[in-house]
Amino acid sequence: MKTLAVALALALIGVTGWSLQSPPYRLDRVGQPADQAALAHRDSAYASATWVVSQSENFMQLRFFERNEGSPCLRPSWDDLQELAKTKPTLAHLVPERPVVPNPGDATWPHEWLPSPGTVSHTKYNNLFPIGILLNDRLCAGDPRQAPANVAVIGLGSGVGLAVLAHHFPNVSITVIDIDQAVIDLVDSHYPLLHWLSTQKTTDGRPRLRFVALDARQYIQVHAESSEPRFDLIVLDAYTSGSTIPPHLMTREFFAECAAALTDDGILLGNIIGSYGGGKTRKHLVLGGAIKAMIAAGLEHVHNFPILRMPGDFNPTENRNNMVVASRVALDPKSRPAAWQRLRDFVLYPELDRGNPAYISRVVALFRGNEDGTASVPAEVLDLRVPRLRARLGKNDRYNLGQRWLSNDPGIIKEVADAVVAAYTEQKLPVPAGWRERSETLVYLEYDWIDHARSTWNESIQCARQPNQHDGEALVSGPRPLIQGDVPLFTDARPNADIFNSGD
Amino acid sequence: MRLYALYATSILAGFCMMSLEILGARLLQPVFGSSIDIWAAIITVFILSLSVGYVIGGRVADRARSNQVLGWILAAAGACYLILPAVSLPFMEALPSSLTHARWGVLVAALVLFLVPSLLLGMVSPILVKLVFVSAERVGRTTGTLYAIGSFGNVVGILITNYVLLQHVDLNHNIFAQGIVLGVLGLAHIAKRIDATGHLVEREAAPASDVPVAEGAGA
Repeated sequence: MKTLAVALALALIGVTGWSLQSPPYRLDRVGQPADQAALAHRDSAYASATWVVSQSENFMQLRFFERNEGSPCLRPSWDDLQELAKTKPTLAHLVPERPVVPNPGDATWPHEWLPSPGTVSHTKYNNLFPIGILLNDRLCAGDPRQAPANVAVIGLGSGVGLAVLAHHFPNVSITVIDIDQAVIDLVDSHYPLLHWLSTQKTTDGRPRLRFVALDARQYIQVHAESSEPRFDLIVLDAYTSGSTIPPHLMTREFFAECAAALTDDGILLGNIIGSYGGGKTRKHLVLGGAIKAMIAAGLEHVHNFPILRMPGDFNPTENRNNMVVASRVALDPKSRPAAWQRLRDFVLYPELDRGNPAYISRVVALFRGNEDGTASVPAEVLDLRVPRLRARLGKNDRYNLGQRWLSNDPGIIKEVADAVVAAYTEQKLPVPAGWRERSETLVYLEYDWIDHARSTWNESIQCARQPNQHDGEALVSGPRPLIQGDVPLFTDARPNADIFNSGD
Repeated sequence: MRLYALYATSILAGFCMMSLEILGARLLQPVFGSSIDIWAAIITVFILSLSVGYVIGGRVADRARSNQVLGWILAAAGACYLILPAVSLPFMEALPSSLTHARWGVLVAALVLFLVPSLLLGMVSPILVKLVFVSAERVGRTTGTLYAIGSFGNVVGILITNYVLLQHVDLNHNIFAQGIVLGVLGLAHIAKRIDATGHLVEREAAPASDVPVAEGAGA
């Protein structure tokens, strides 16, 4: 009976195949050689990324598609810091043994040598990376600056956050994990300070900076099972297309893996973009869900440090960067007065002076309505043609933690616009966009980047200190949570699948 | 009745073959990621194997007198599906990294994994053409209809696999289920004989031509 024989053979093959089948690819199986090959083939969103420099040449950004990563300021440059180190010994840890030859300029940069940024950030939230170290009593038992921390940073971006940490804490060993080798290559080749740091070791022999091209989830899992020392701080700053944290890095299980990779008093510091709710978007659910997942993972104590765009009253409906700190030990100001005193006493960039014109960007821009960025030029273009412009403008207020002078006088606006057009045409350069059209408001912006960093720090600490406003219990787990609505608990089985930061 | 059975076979075989393209991409994913290189490899390998299958299937079809060989082929294809989940990942992990990191490495892996099942399913078409053949006057119509029905099966296979099956059923379970379907189909063909009537028509005609046309010649 042929049919029977064939049926039997098929059944046998089927049973064998079934029992030997490989389980489908799951995130919690790690350490397989298969994982790396998959990463090698991932189409990188950064495949066509490029560094761009701001109009006023004061900061550079990593741009991919229409998005920008955070940005290091170009002044103070690494050379500026090395020069300063001659009189300020606390900068000695940023001085290479042999002078580093600058990279030759390329098509993106009009000068002979590529810029070499220092450690000052144009983006606000990077300035708060140090709170992850300062909130740790054991690390700051002696001089907080000498904290011997092992830090893992998930998500590289432009790398300026690493520079902020390296500037203020000479003794930290940073391991930065990014899924994308292309980003690592871009930063390694265009940020000489970070490249140099990756070749250096701390006084006790730990590498100051390590680049790892791996999925962070896998790295944390493997690290937790290895014999390497636990991390004192894990910074989660991974953002993917749609300006969203990858879902598998926002689940209870992942945070539990982070907790296992952390020391007992270790801190998880996450940059989570979101609001407290009340607006039209669902972005408060991302923030709320992340906090819930951290608490459920065993990091029960959570505190949020909102990054304010403008100084002044905190607006809960505003979508912003939130530096969420989670740990097994208590974090709130009441239980940890000494730690919060350290936060209040901490001064960013103590060696650098506020008011130093080299570190100040001055930009003249035309606003239409309340939009900024419609047309802007460095103020230096106008210094000779329209002298004392700033003095002629009327109102002065704080803007995005810088200073702003405004005028709606059409006479001044025309004078300035004509001067800009003349300046560029004389130099036979294309006139920047927007300067030939009519505009309502002329704006003179002045950013003192040192002041900017310190203001960001102070405003955020000040805001976070308010009692019962920004801790995990007030936000999510208490009887009347501030983040309202159906806040999900993100787990591996049901991760954040559909709340994106762009378009939602 | 036999026509419908053959049409059904065509649809099911087409369904499973195109479905394997989609499922195959998922199978390759753990090692080769999900970039466009996989799709180039899958499409190449499937079309290549199908064309080789057509050639071999044509030879086999000419010698076939019934659907028995079709049953064996479908059963063998089913067996390939059944062992694919067990074999794919260990095989790919055993590949040297020089292969897995190269853009064309996925071509090699796809070839090894999918050559045999798609070749076998490619052989199904010519044999079905032979089996539906009724007469020379209608060969165009019957073959055209068969191709159309087979393509319809392909399309249904792609759409249902992508939009329905993969959302609700595990990858491995999908492949197993289709292996069982092909196996049962093969068993059905082995059990129930369908003669290739086209073959018989030819054999009836042959003796007639041996009869000398004597009467009319001399008149």
